[in-house]
Amino acid sequence: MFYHISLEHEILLHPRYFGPQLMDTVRQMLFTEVEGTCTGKYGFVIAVTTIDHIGAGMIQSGRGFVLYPIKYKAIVFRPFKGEVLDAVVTQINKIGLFCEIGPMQCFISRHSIPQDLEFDPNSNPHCYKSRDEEVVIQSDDEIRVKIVGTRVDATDIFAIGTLMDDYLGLTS
Amino acid sequence: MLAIKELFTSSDTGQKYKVINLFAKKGTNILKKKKLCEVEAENGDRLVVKAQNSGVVSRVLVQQDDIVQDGSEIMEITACTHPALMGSICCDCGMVLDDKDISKTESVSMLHSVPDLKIAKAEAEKLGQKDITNLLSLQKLVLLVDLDQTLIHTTNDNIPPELKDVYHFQLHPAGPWYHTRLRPHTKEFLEKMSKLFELHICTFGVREYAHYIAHFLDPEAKLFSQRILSRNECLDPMSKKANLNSLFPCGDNLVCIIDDRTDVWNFSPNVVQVVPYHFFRHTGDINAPQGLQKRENDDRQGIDFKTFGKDSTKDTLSGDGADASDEEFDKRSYSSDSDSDKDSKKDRQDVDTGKVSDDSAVDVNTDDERRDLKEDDGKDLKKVNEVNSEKLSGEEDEKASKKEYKSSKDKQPDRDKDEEKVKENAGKDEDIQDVDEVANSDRVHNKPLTNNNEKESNVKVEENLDGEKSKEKKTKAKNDVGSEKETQNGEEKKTGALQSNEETKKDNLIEVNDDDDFLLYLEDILVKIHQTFFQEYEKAGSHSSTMPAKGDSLPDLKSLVPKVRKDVLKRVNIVFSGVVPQQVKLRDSKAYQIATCFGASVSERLVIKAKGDADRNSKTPYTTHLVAANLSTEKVHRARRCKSIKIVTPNWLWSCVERWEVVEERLFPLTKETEKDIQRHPPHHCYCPNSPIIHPPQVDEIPGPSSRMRTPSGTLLEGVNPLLFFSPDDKNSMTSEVDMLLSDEGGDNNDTSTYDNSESESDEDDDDDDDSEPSRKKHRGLDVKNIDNQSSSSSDRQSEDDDEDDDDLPSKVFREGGGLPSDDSDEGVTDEDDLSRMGADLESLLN
Repeated sequence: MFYHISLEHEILLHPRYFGPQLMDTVRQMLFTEVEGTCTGKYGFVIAVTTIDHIGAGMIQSGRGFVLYPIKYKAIVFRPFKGEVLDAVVTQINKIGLFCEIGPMQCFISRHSIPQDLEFDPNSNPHCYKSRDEEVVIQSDDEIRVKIVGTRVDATDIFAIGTLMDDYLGLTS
Repeated sequence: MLAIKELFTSSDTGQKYKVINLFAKKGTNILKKKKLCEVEAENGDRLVVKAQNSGVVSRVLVQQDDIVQDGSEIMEITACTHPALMGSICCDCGMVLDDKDISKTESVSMLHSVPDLKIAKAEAEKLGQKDITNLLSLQKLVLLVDLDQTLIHTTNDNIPPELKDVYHFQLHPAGPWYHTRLRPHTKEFLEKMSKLFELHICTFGVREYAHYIAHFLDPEAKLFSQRILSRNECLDPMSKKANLNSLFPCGDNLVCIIDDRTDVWNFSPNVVQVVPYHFFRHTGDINAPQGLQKRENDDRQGIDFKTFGKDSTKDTLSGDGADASDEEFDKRSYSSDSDSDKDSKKDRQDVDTGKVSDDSAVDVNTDDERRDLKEDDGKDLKKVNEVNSEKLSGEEDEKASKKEYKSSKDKQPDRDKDEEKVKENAGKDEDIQDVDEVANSDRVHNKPLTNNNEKESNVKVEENLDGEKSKEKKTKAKNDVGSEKETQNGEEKKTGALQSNEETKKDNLIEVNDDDDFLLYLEDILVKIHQTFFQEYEKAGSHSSTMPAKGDSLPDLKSLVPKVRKDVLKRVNIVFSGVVPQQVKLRDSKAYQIATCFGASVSERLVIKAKGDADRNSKTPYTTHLVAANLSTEKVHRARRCKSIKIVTPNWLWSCVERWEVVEERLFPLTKETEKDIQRHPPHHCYCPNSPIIHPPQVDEIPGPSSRMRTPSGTLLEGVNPLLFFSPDDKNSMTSEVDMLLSDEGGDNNDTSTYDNSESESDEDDDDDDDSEPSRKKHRGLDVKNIDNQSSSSSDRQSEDDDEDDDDLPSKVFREGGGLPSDDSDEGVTDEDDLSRMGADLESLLN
């Protein structure tokens, strides 16, 4: 699910950036340091929308670096169990298939793929297909998955999905 | 599948509850702590019952408005067995397991690219079985392909950027540049093999590297798709073997491996060892596991782009410059000493690899020849002949060109006829003459191999050809063409310089002539293995009515590959002369082991076919090949007189072993010229899986003097020369040791082979480390023996003798009536040579 939330971040700036472009540099640094990262709590930071407040920079004693506390708003993506999402298939193998839900990796086990779809090892690229070949899932296809579990690490979230429910599967 | 009953628990045991809401029905996938139902107590308190386990609801045991109390069953759940785990999360139920649960399940990672994904053993076996049946239905096997030095050669040295067919890449933006050269014919090889095998990459390179290379080899990901195993996914950093069990949970019966080294596979019998590909000099296998680097001839083989680069970047790229570097290169590669790991094939290759040849026309020709090898296409052959003769005229002596011309004029019909007749029966003199001429003219430019005796020995060879050898024909044709190719490359050497000048102006690319053609042979080997397997498989299938898809009834490549290997030299009976050092028993020698491992029978003495005894064929087979490293041994002289024995250099054997076929013997005649290039010890890549891996000598078997307890004087001298401090006890123990030794080995050891002399001593020094171990061991025994002989003399005297006992030995033996070694007479000859040379040196010094 996507959220628009307020977040905080601290930017550590090298003294060489001190100058007329200082604030631009700080903003730029915020974008590069924050966008695309992932925290277990809030999920993936997709984009910074507004910078609400850049606090007074504190010069670090003995180092010369300056520390800016920043408050900003960002769009974050936090997956939840039971959520239904669209994904792009990246890899197909005999154990299941891997797909990407935006920045998040998701795996769907063979057991969570409807039984009428079978793995075809001889096709190139590999695919899951029904016997009448009406449904063929292969790399780069778009599918709709339901998340059944997530593994949250410090810097990454990995999801397990399923296709065994109504209206899940190929969307294209 | 485990059926678990979900119980209703409440703190108040007596209280009765009424079910007011059911949240799950049959077939619902429930996870731990998911709501199952809601109950209401009589006093109005509501409770939500949550699941204790995760799984699928198989039965609902209560209905709406039922009365439940503590302990009553609500639902039956078929629990998830977590057949697949991604890290710590179950891929089916999505439950995050803790370490305790994970360790309970026995799981294997079955995917090359995602080692994190593990599946339960039973599940993996099911999948593996499916794979096997699928492969068998497609008539395919599994081929694990190594990258470095097998299909490619990568360097991170600086090389000229404009080399053709070299890929340049960086793994990280700031990382070093890698330069990768694909082995010639790689793409065709993979293309063909993909029809017979399911190809997997197994490399010790890091993942990014492996994927880069895979992309070069296979841009559309058709051949390997995702079957790439790299260092990141290797379970054992020193061995690739560890991953086999998880990749192929149903056994590796269908697995064949090509690699340039067998040690990383624990010398598994299903490895087909590949001649290492060496393109860039000074670079070995950049991805060899730490501590397993092989010190091979990295500095000898391949192309040295340091000199090369300088010459070529001198913007003129004059033919002279390139030529000079080539010659320098040649010299260097030839001057490498005799114990080098190269065999003659490599030698020839070396000569040719250094050439700057941008002659695309010639390249086309070589392509044709390749086709030729496969199809016996007559036209190309003729063309090649003509090309040869054209190039020849004016360059070579008249006699040669005349012959060449004649052979090309004879053209295909003649040639075909010749070959056929040779195949049927080589008795007719005229045909022999023709074939001979072809062969001779082929080789006229192949200078290292040419010689006056040539023709004579050729006649012998031809007369030898038996009618049965239909296979021989193919080999022969191949080799003839091969030698032509060689010839042509020789031509290139001369013409290439000129042409390179024009050519480089055109496209600014340096094309390096690299005529490594091992993949063509490898292709044949693998096709043979594939055929053998499916013959075997069909045989097994015809016995049992059901498809033998189960692991135990399948033919196993681990036994089939050695079997195919054993067929290679099946009809060959070898006698070695001057190859095996005298103090090494024939059976212990590497040459013997390699030859027998390829199916040849090796005997100590020549068995010569005499006219009278045509019927005594069954017992000992007649010697067909004499593998000799020295012209002047007695065996060579005897074999010369017998026309049915082909005399070849050891290089012939190594070449056969590399290519898994009987190589044309005429390419490796034993002559004065070839004698110098002989390599007595097999190259590193010639290994035989049957040979025991040589362990460091076990000290406790034969305790050497150093390991024995000695008088505890503890002086420094004792460490320096322990022989000085022998006590009477020591001597006694030595005597008993010798007795033991003699009783152990006396039976199968004749005196002549036990004692060494100065000549074989130097042989031993040339030995590789592992080779020399057994001989060292024996040496130690010898020392002791000598001491024993002299134990009556005073200890002072003894110690002097001990210091020089090596020199003493032969003469002493002679004095005692043991007789000088009779096996090889060459030693004496070389000694004489040495003496006379020393005398000449002395004379010149005095003058």
